[in-house]
Amino acid sequence: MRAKQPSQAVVEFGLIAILFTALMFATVDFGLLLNTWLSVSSATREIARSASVGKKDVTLLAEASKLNMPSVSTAGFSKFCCDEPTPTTSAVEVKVEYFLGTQGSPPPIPCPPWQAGCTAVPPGSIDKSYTAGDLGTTGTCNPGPTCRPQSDDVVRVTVTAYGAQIITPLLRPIFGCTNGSNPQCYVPLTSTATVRYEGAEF
Amino acid sequence: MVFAAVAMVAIVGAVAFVIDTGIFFVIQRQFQTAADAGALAGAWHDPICPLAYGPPCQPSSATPLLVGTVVGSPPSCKMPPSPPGAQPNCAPCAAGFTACDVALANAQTVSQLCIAPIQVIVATGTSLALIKPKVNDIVVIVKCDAGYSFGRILNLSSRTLWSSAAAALGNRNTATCPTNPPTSGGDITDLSATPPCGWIARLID
Repeated sequence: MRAKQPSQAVVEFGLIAILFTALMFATVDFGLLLNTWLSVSSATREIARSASVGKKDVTLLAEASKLNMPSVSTAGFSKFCCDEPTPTTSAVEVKVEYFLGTQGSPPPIPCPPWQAGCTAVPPGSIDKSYTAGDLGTTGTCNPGPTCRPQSDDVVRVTVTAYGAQIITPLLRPIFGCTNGSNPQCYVPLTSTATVRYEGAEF
Repeated sequence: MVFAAVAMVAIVGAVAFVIDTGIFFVIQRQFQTAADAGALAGAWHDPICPLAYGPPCQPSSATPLLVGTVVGSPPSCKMPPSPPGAQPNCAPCAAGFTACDVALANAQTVSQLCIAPIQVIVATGTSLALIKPKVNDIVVIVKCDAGYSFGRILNLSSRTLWSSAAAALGNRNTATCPTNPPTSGGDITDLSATPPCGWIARLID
């Protein structure tokens, strides 16, 4: 039997070191993404609450533009927030949708988002002062009894951070990030909050 | 070899701790959003906001409310007919009551991270243990059992995660209108229905 060679330990260490390093990188990236997701979640809650108590489009837009999201890069995007077009050109997108509640004239059939087959109120039925989908897009109807939103409607706010990144180099290829495609290694993080609309701002 | 073995256990353990804790964080965060949204939505409906009072109170299309006391950690319900100390199983929050629907709609986004169905508990009344007396409020509790993934290495199987929130109605305009129930200890009849006071639901716990 041959004696163990010193170089064997080096090779074994090299193999194990790659695995350990990948594990540590994964831990770091997971922590960073978790931190970013928590800020996305907080932003969603704040904007949902503001929408719930009747804050208008301009207020929500200003609120969204001032969000503090760690690790969200604007490199490769036109701005931080909030462009309407799809695919997005901003690092953060906010979508505000309204669903029919019980109030209105004539009283509509409630159609909340958790009910199968229910879709958001179309932009043509949203008051001009309020959002109708992506933040920055106002509705089109004139305020009146059939205009939404009205008290007891349901608001669903979705915030997506397109600018969150995987930063550690060893993991980037796993997410399909090469210099050719997705060079920034963006991983979209999304959070949604569904709340009751409490009535118009005054 | 010994160093490598020790290091391997330490690093794998650290990774397990970070990932499992992170996932639990995500679940609990979403449950807090769900409980808050459910409580704020439910505060507008009978019997928290009695129909006899008129606007802004609205009827409940279902009556799953549990008039009881929230006890324990993780919280459960103690119903009035029960003998002291008994904790019967709470009835599941029925679909159709706004607080339940809204809470569940928010909580369902992390349902895949739970190993058991998400439970929503709603309790209401003026004598809930956590809240000041007399305030007619609603407490919403969202909970589920979440499974460990990497923690199984350390023989850990699951953990109960929960969040709770309490809410009541108050006046929007607090400068010139009666103080909100959470600070005064009063109920909705102490508030003003005259403009520009307005109505708003507020978290109180």
